[in-house]
Order: sequence, then C-alpha cells, then structure tokens
Amino acid sequence: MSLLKNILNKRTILSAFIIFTSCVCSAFQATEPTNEPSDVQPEVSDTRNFTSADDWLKYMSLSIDDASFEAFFVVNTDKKETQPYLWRKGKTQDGIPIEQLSLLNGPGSEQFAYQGKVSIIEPGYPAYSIAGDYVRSPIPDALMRSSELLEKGYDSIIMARNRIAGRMAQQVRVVSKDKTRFGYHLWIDETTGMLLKLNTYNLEGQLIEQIQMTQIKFGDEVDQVFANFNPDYLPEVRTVYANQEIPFSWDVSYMPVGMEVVKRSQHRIQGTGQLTEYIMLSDGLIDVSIYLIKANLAFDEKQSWHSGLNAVVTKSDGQYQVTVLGRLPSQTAYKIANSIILVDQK
Amino acid sequence: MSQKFENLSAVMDGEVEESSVIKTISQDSEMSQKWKSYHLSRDLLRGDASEDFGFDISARVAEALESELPIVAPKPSWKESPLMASVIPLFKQSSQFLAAACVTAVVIFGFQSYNQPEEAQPFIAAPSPFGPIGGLTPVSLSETSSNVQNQEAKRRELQIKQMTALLNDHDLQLRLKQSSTEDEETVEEQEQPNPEQ
Repeated sequence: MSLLKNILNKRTILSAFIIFTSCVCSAFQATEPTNEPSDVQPEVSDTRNFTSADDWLKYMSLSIDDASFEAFFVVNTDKKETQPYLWRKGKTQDGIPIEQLSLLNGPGSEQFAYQGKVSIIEPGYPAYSIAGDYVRSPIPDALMRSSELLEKGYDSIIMARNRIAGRMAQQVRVVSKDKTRFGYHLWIDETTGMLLKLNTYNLEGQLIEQIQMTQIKFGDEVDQVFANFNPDYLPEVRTVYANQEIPFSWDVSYMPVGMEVVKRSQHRIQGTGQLTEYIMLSDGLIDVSIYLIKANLAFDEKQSWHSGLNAVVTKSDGQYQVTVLGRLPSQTAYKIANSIILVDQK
Repeated sequence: MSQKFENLSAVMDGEVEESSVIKTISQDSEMSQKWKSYHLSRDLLRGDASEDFGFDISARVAEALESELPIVAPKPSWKESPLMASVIPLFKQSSQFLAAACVTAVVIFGFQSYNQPEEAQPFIAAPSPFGPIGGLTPVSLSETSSNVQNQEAKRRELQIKQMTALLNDHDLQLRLKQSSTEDEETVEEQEQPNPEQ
C-alpha cells in the first residue's frame, strides 16, 4: 500500500516537472491590443504564419510585454552546474506591471523590476537598485524583448517548426553578420509567443549554452502573488558615474560589425585597486569590456582564459596591458585586443 | 611504540587488514603523521610524487572552508532585513507551484559556481608552499633552491587576483550600463552601487 502511494507520489512530482503546464492562452489573448504597428500585431488564431524571422521576434517581444505569467527555466552552461530560475511577470494591486526573477539554487538571489527601477537582492550584499526596465536575466533582453537592437550586427533567419516542451514552436536563428560572435537559436511558442528554448553556439557550431523553459503558467492568477507587494521596501536607485569624456591615448581600431563604443571611463578596479582606462563596446546583444592598465608581473605577452561563456584575452607590451572581456569567441576578443592602437604615445 | 609502527607498515604493505590498526591511525595524531610520511616517502621512491608534496593542505582547506561558509549559508541578518521580510511572503504564497521545489532539488551549489570564475579554482587549491605571497619568508636553503618555482606561483596568484577583479568589474559595468546610458546628462558622480567585496 505504502509502496503504491510512493509510486503515485513520484509520478505526480515527475509529471509536474516534465509536463509543460498547459497555458491559459485564452486569458492571454484576450488582453487588449497595444499601440504597436498592426502588421506586427498578430491575428488571433492558433498558429501564426509570419514569413520573416523578424516578425517572429517582434511577436515574441510583444507577447512577453503583454502577458502575465509565471515561468520556470533552467540554464545549462558548458562545464557548469544547471541553474534553475523562476520568472514572474504580473501586475500589482494598482495595476502597475512588475517583474520578478529568482535564482532557485543555493542562497539564491532576487530581482524586481518595478516602475523603471531594478532592485537586486543578493545574499552577502546590501540590496540596491539601478535604473532599468527589465530584470537582468540569463536570457538577453535584445533577443527576447528588443529585437530592434539586433539589426545592426545580426541577421535573423527563420528555421523549421519544432515541438519544444510539448508545444509547437517556431525556430529562429540569430547570427552575427560577420560571423565573429556566438550564434543563437530561439524557439518561440506559436500560440503564446513565449520563448521556449534558447541555444547558444560557438563559431565551431558547438552548443555551449542552453536555456529551456520547463513550466509556464499564463493568466492573471500570477497577480495575486504580487498582491501584498510593497514597493516602499525596495531600495532607492543609486546613481552612478556618468559617461566621462576623457581623452584616451589609445583607441580600438577593429570592432565586429554592429559594435560601437558605448562607454568610456577611468576608474579603479575593486579588489586590486588598479587604475584602469575602460571602454565598453556593445552590439545591443553582448557587451565587451576593454581594460587598459599598467602592466605588471602577472601577464606575459598574450594570454587567453575562459569563464563560462566569457572570453578573457590579455595582451601586454611590457608597459601597458590590454584585457578584452566579454561573451564572445576568444578569436574575436584577440582581434579586438590586437587592434588597440596608441593614438598618442605617453 | 615500535610495535605500533610495525603494525602501521604492515597495513601499508597490505599484509594486515585489521580495522583496529586503521582506527588508531585515524585517531592517533602521531600515527597519522607517520602514515602520511610513509606514503610520501613511498611516492618519492616511486617517483610519482606531485610537485607540491611538501605541505599539508588539509589544514588550509579546512581554513578556507571556514572562511567560505558565509557564502553557502547567508547571514541571518540578511533574511531578517525588512526587505526580505516583504519578499519572503511571495514565496510562501506560491506553494501551489509544486515544480519550484522539484527544480530546486535537481542540483546543488549552483550559486557558487555562478559567482566564481571557473579558471580561478585549480590555482586556489594549490597556494604557494612558502607562506603568504608578499610576506616575509625566512631565508633558507629550500627557499633559494626553489626560487623560480616560488615566483611562478606568485605570478599565478597575481593572475588569478587580477582576472577575478576584472571579471567582477565587467559584471559591475554591465549592471551599471542601463543606468549610465539613460541618465547620462543628469547623473552626478557618486559612489558605485557595488557593495564591498
């Protein structure tokens, strides 16, 4: 008897984990139409027939913006532990949109996006807020919600239809125009527009990261979770260094297509106290940091490391050391590091 | 006394498999020291000793674990803060969503690997055998003879330190990106939001 009970228990747990909760699509589709261009706003039907990948991406971002949902997803990165996340989007009692992202393993971390500020609560650190509309998710905003950011540096290609997490999904590929950055495959739910799966591939075509939704629940019940939410407890937004116009004696002469300098600053690196001249490049999807610091004993002429998907490439001429760091292939990071030129010898 | 050590060497040679002897080895500090040095000398004789045999890392590992504990188990003060008090009820309400628990059970310690640059670990596990980097070490024969090795270890540690700092800074810059691009004109210089490391 108890054995039977055990088995039954196991089965329910298993099915809860594996089986994709059927979405309450009707509730979602009944949401009022937005002011977006009508060619993007899909007709209400069970399957979409967009002909371009771009339409699919826009459809996805609109859907995610509109919907209230609770989703669970896992992130699998090469040689790292799987990480499960809970991602909620809903409205508070006053009807103000709110978003929450929790890391479910370990001591965890919490993020809330509410009224233009993102509050980050992590163990061991005092909570703080920064300005922003979206939580910092392992799923890049540019892919999921702001596909217009991709236009400069990436092409999107429509691929086959697949069954993902028990639902029909359209596959879309996003590749960099000059083949210098990682490639992404997205699977978008045909009925709800939700991102179901995101694969990241390196230049050799190997899968290096995989994000998969395991459960999604649409509908306004999610709002109940936020019913008692009290925004007064969220920390105030801390202001930060403004973009400084500092004349650097060096510059970057090579950037992948679509990339541009978005930030220059001069600051001290916490931990080592080194003073650095810093440039941030961005193509909308990935951000690359370039550090120029006084060379010390630590590094030889050239060195390359990896931390997850981050490539770290260091180049030193004995006087200055350049470090290029970001979620991009190390070949490209090398190219950038090699392209650093001195504008005016110090 | 000599009887004791004789037993020990017998166990090492695989001649005896008495659990009582093994128990004494694990309990008696003198015996366990002897046990280690027997093994060390055997490894040396066979030539398969690793380069960094000269130190006993178990104490240091224990020490490191001690200092790492707060990361694994957050300080109670964090949970007691008014902020978390308002956050935690959110979870309680969501007990209807069974899957959260299931997913959580799949893997452990995700957060740790999330927070630490991977390549840093192998080196951290093998600190310099000659005391703290930059500290004063007594001049001795062994010090001078393995000076090269010492410098190499020093360099590695410097590298790790720098790489970790850069990775952290990169992460910090990404966090601040949204803020700084949006508020470019209005924002004045203030302290950075990243808490002390």
